[in-house]
Amino acid sequence: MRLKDFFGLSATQRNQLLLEAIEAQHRYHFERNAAYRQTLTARGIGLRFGSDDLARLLRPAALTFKSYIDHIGPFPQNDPPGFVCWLSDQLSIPLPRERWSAFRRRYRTLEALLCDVERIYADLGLEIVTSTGTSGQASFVARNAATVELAIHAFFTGIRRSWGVERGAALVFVMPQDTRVAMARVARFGTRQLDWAASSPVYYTMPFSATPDQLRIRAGRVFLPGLRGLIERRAIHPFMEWANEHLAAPRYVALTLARLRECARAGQPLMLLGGLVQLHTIARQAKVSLPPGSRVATGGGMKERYPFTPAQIRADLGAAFGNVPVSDVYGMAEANWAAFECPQGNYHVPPWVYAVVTDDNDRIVPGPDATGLLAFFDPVGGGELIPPFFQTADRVRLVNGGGEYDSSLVCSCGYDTAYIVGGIQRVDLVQEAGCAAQI
Amino acid sequence: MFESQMTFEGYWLPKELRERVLDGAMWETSWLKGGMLTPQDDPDAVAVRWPRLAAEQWRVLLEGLQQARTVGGREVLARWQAVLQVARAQLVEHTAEMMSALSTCTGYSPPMLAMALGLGDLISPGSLSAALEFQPTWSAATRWEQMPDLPGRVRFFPQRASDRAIASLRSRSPLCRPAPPLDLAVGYAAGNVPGTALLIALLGGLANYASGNGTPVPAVLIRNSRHEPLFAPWVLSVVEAIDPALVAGLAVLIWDYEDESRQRELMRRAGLMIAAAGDDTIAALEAVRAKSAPDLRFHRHGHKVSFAVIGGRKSKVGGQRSEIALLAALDSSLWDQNGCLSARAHFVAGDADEYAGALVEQMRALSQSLPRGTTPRRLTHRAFDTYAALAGSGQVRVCSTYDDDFAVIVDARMWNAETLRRTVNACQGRVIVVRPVEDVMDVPGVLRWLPPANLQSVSVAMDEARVPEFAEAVGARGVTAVRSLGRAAFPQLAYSWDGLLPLDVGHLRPEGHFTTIEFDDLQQELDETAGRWRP
Repeated sequence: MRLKDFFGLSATQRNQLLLEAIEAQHRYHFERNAAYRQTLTARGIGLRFGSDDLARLLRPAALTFKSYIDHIGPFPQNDPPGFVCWLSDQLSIPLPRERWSAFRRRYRTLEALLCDVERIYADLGLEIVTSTGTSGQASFVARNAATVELAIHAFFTGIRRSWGVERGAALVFVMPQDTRVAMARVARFGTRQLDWAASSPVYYTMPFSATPDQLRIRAGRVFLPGLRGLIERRAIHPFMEWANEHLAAPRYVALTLARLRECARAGQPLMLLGGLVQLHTIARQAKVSLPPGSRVATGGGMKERYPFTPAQIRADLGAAFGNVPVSDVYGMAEANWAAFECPQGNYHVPPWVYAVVTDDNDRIVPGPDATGLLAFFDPVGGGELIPPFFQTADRVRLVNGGGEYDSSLVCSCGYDTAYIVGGIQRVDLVQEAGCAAQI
Repeated sequence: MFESQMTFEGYWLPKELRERVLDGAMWETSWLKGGMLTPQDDPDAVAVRWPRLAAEQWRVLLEGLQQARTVGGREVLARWQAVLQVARAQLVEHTAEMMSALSTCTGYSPPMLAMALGLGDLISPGSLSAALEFQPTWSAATRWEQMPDLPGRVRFFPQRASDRAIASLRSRSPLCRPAPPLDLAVGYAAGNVPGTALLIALLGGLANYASGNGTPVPAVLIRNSRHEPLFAPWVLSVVEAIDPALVAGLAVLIWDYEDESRQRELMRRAGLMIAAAGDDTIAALEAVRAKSAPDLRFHRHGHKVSFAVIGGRKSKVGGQRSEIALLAALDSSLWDQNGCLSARAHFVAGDADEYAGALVEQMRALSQSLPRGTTPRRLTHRAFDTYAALAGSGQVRVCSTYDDDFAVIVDARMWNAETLRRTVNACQGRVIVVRPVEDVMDVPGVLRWLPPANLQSVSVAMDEARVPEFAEAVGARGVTAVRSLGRAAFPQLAYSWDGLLPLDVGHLRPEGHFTTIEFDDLQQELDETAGRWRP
């Protein structure tokens, strides 16, 4: 079944379909995916599972894709065989072992190792995308051509249906073109695959790369051991902090404003997409009245100690860009979908995703209006590379999620899917602790 | 319905001051559940209120506290001891009504709270007066010393190399000198483990004990935790009914850390500040202190971790290895490892697999008799999943099941600083990593990977003869208390709390930390603790 076919289904129909698809996907991955099988077997789940066991199929997203740290340590480039072995366990397709010898014994950078993984397994179409890695330890999510295509489809279907952004609108991405960060990769591959540039311009206004190594050093939380780590800590990290503020920010601000002004002069509607803080930096520099039909879209990029709230930032963005709609998108590297904010301020989960929330004991919270940690089953759009059943670390209020549906709660925007109401709160373990230390 | 919901008082002011200070006060009401603030519309939450004082009310309070300082010097301790004897019975009378609120508020189960409070006699205020008589010399920096009339031993680990170098040359010189008497001690209590504010109140009140009986106790003002504001007011109200003068100069309130002008004023007035809080909070307090009151003495009790160490065959209790496992299980179950005293990893010299099996049995039994609180089970599940994924290596064994509300894991992999760090962080919410070691003396080498400032206590069951050597080595790494297995959650007030002895509230000394061994006869104490749990 194609993703777009889900839009025509009733909630009952799609939930039934999705539950069947979840069962089928579980069987498929359980037989092929060593990491998934090991986790679920330990939880007491086999090839078949009961309806009460649905929550036990969910693996914590961050934990799953950061589990390499427990196996080989935080620097995969120092142990390529260990990393490939870990990666092989995470996938539901075989990574031919005979090619493992093609890897070098060590790599100078993580990016170099990831490039080699993609090169050596080019015939599988493997792409490694990452989280932004602000914790200093990135999640690595493998995708193949099929899952990339699904992600692209999910993203561009979303912006069209939720925001009305159609082919013909210019796209201005305040992000680097050369990065593994998931959303930026989807944007790059998507615009290329859909040949978006044939009908309207596509711009990337961060004119520098953002490799996982660079992101790690810039985050300033994890450094290599030894002398190289000392240099990273004492020299490169401070320099990057300085350069970001004094070199990079002025450049991407100038480049973005130049592109926006070009579009404004040409009367070309556009979608401007970037992180909250980056867009705010631009908005505070100059005002550009964007043409009618344009939209500003924010996605992530909020800093812990930024002195403005998201609401203030959005108000500033609206004022700076001619009061065009400002909307947010919620996504993560581990998900092959994104939730787009509607005019009512709700985040709509695509209809092909079976979303639930779980309580503090990892049980699915019943009811059509439930609060807990967001978890999702993406049996149709998640691809066949990784079991697409994940629990996030984001606490949300979810309406009409899972098998629970109340027609009186359908979002007044008219888009009849599960949706997230209000903000998304990242759950912090430390908040739950008393005087016990987290080291 | 919420307007009629009972609202608890989350503050304490002495009776004489209450009306004057609260006249026209604004009130802040919070709803607490599971140690967290929750929205008002949660019907299961406990409503707690406290006053928000205006400048004039602060003035009245601080003046009033000063005027109420009557009891002097060491007399204060004798009166506390007398009062607590009586108060314990009265507190038990009111336990039923308070326990439910305390349980909802903190998230700890009523049986756990009842057990912790019921075994309060394991914490002996009587030994505190003996501890205050201790006058250490520099010889404590070179060898273990006995504290008069107290079991156990104490050792001082100077921080500066120069102090370590000259310690033996000055062995008969006093290590400490009396601190100038002070008018006000300020305390900060955080977290949701009950009792911290009371402990600070008691210690703060002793700050002038070295100045003689003619010097009144300082006024004590405590900024309590929003996450557990009930316990201290409850106990203090009972104490006041018995001996009002004893607590007439004491107040427990809640104000905002961000109220920097208030913080500055209090720090300028105070002579001693005691904080048991997170490292970030302590750093913030330190920043204000450095700017506003650099001479203010600051006793910091930041984030800590503790461990259990189980030695060889001779450490069986009453011939029963399972009782060792029971005692160890207690050390990791009380407060669900949210407290700094809870044992995280258990280092085991001997058959770690057999030990882990016995530990699982005891943890299951405790799940019934001492149910875990609201600490999310997902923390336990995360640890379970993490280690289950490592089981393929053959060096990790998950001994519990996913449905247990705890996790016991044997981890025999090669460890480094990163694995230890991740282990420590995983061990919260009744997660125990059993670490096989060849010998108990391997443990200090492992602990070197952790920041010394984050180390706290080690509860032990080992051959008696190995204890001094072991304590010496872990003390040098930063561990400040060695106590018997099963008593991790019952720290003795007379001994080192994060490197500070009770005498430190009234004295000045070189930088460094005290480490104490809290027993004379380990076997006897293990037997005694286990005896409390035998049917």
